[in-house]
Amino acid sequence: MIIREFGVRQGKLPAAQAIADANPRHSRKALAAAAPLRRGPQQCLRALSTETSGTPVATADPAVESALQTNPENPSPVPSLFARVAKPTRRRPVEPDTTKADWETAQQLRRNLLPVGTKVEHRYGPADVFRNPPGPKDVTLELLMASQAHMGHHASVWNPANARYIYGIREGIHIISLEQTAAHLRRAARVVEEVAYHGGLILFVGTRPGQTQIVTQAARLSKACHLFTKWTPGTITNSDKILPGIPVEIVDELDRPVGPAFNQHLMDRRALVPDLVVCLNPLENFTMLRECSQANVPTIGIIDTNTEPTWVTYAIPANDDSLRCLAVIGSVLGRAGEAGQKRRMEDAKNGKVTWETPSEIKQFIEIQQKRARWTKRAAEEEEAAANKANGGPNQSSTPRSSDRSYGRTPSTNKDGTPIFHADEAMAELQAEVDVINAEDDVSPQLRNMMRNLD
Amino acid sequence: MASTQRAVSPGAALLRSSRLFSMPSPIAPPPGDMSQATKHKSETATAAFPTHLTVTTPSTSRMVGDWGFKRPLPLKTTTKSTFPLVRVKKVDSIEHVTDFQSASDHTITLEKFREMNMSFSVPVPRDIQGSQTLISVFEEGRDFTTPAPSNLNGLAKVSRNDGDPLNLRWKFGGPWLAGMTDGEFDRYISKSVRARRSEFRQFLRERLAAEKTADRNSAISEQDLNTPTNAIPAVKAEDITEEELLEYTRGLRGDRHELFNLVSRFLDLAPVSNADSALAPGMLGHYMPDKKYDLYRDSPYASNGPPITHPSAGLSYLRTQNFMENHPLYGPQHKHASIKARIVTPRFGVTNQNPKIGVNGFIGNIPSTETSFSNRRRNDVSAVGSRDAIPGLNEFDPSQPGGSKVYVQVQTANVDSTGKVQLRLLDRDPEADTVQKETVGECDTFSGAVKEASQPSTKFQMPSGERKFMPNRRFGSAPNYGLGGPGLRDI
Repeated sequence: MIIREFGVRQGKLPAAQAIADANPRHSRKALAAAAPLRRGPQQCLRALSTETSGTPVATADPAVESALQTNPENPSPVPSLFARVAKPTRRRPVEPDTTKADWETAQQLRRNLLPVGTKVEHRYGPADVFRNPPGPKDVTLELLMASQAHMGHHASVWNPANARYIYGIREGIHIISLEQTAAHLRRAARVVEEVAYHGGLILFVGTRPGQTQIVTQAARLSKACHLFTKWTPGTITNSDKILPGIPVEIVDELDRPVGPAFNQHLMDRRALVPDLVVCLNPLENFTMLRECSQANVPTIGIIDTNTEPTWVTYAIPANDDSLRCLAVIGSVLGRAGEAGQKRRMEDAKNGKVTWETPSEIKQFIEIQQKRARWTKRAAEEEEAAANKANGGPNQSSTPRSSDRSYGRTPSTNKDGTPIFHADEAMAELQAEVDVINAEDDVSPQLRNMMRNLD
Repeated sequence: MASTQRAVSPGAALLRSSRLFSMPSPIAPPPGDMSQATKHKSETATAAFPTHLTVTTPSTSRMVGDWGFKRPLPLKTTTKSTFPLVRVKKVDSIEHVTDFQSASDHTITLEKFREMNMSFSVPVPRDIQGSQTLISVFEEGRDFTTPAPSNLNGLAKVSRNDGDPLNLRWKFGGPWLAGMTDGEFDRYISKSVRARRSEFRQFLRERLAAEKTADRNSAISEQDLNTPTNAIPAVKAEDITEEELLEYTRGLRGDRHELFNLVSRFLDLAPVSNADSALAPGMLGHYMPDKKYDLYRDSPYASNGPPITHPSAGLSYLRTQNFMENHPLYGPQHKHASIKARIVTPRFGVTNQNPKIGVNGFIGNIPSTETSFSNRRRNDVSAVGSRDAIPGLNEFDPSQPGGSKVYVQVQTANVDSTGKVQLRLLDRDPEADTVQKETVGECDTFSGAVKEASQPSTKFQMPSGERKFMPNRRFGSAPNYGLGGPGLRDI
């Protein structure tokens, strides 16, 4: 750095190059231009020299002093270096601006040199888990250890029920066995995949700060739902009050919306209940896990050494504080769900539907079919009556009183289609339910629902 | 074929090689100074030496708080420093927090210390006057802990002047008595010493037997040179009677010097200084008449106690300071580059306390001789050379932003018995200071010299016939940059 600074300074003197030319033996050396100058300032440099003898600065060396002089009486072989140096410096000629050309040269050089040299391999970045999420096949002990899955809590705050997951104590914390974590994580991934394969509704919950990206990514991969804010207590057990009028869509086996045919059913349908809940922080979501257990919803939870493992159906013993660990587990489960969804869609394309129509919708479809039949029959009867009136006037147009679905004659539009009355439909539906209740093939869920209605 | 190592599961093998498991357990904190109990003591002051491992992380991981521990460390406190350095005291606590703090203090200090190229030398005993030869702590005759034969081979090089060869060690089995408090001493006597009474008597028996054998052998060789001394069996410890031992013990009671030597050899005590104790060579009353004594110089660790670590403390592995630094313009330098130090505490007028000078994070000890550090005059224009008073050293100078600074030369370093690094400063060197200032851009002597020389001088002219250069008056490096060609003077 020092060399460069002095070189620049000396470069301002045009004599420097001339001196270098005069001393070709030295011109190859880095400091050649500056070297002759060292002869001049000896008097001053003495203060900087490493010689310890002699008083610095105070006295000048007469011999050196004389050497620096140009003697008019004897104009002979003076080394004349100093004379050249001492010439008044000329101003530097104005040079054209080469900034652009220099920059382009530098860029060209950089392009040329880019493939040269060591190739730096990318090993790890914190965002890798989001750019390329690992799946269940990528779960290794090394990955889990690198993502700090083995670090449990302080040994004094443990839950003894987790003893089977704990390998030992180090640095004052419990160490979770990596084999246990890997095995439980693979099992949980299998559960998620099968639930997705059978068309279940999965919910990823992570309500601690920093878990938003993890749960949204997992939900996006597995076409599931996510929750990264507070779980409103009662969302499952009191959903009629908490979630009224939440829009619900009915899709077919290829996940296409089936259109307005079920709008009537959706209007009075209760809110959906997830078929699987994945919770990243069970400790803060105890209420949700409790509601899930009441509603018979299976749960998957990350169980640290201070968490009660019986709160969840499928425990994954791991560190629930490290976002890196949660991101790995979340992406593994998300990838598992993605695989399940993919399998389901492939089977659906081949004509195999892996899920059953919910019983409520089955009932609704049956009712609609019955209603269509009855409408058709009523229309036929009416037509027959009209024909009879035309042919025999004694025929009555009143429908049979035994027909439960129509207490009165349905009013029709001009084109003959029946006008639908919501209150009548409810009453009819209830009546249908009563009939079905009497039969044996009623589903327990529906019966339960009806019990609630009572 | 039985394996010596128990087979473990793959996860366990992985965990054993993990970084968390590789963290060394913290060492004991620096011993507290008893006299500080009544003084001001700062809880946040930098400890004399680090006790915990320093942990760092890549910048990308630091941005998300990932330091490889149980939970992300808070970004507010860990992302402000230039270098990511923390020490973790507890990976997890009952309060569910990771207990950590910045480790920049010790880590950066270590880095700055390594820039000084300092070597550690054995401390010079107090009783040595005059010029001192610095001996590296890694020399063969110094760097050993047990008096094993292999170590004693290296001791052959140690001259008798250096002191008792066994006391040149830096580690001893017993305590340093001069540094013990009364309570500690009583506890040591009752716990460790009292139980070894019979062992000591056996030790004395063997000693007496060896002495008797030596006496008899010398008597035989005086009488008859032809009789080999090993023809007669040596006196054994079992042959010493109780009366003889009692007599020997009585003799020892009057011979304090010999008694202390025996006790300290038996208990492997760390050496104490002769100057302070009752063993001072001047006190003739402690010596038996007509007896030959081996009197040694003080051990290097006698006056301040043996160090609690290896005397280099692992801070530097250099053996010597005797190398030259080269300057691109001025050539090889006689002195090392001066180090910019801060005047932590100026000399107080009332208490006359020595000023404290902070050199790269350590307090340097100013020389006790007459130097520019001892110049108490205010800026004395009549003073010449290095004895100029240092501005800001004798009184606090509030006009200096960031405090007063001074360029210093450091001679050597050693570690004292409390684990603190002691730097010994030399007197200032104005030339080295100027070169270093120019290197860091604080002054520009060179271009000023060039400018001055480029003005033709009219003051002085030599007769024309005598114009030639003085040989060997070139400054700095050789005129041909040491490349062997003809120098500039030949042009």
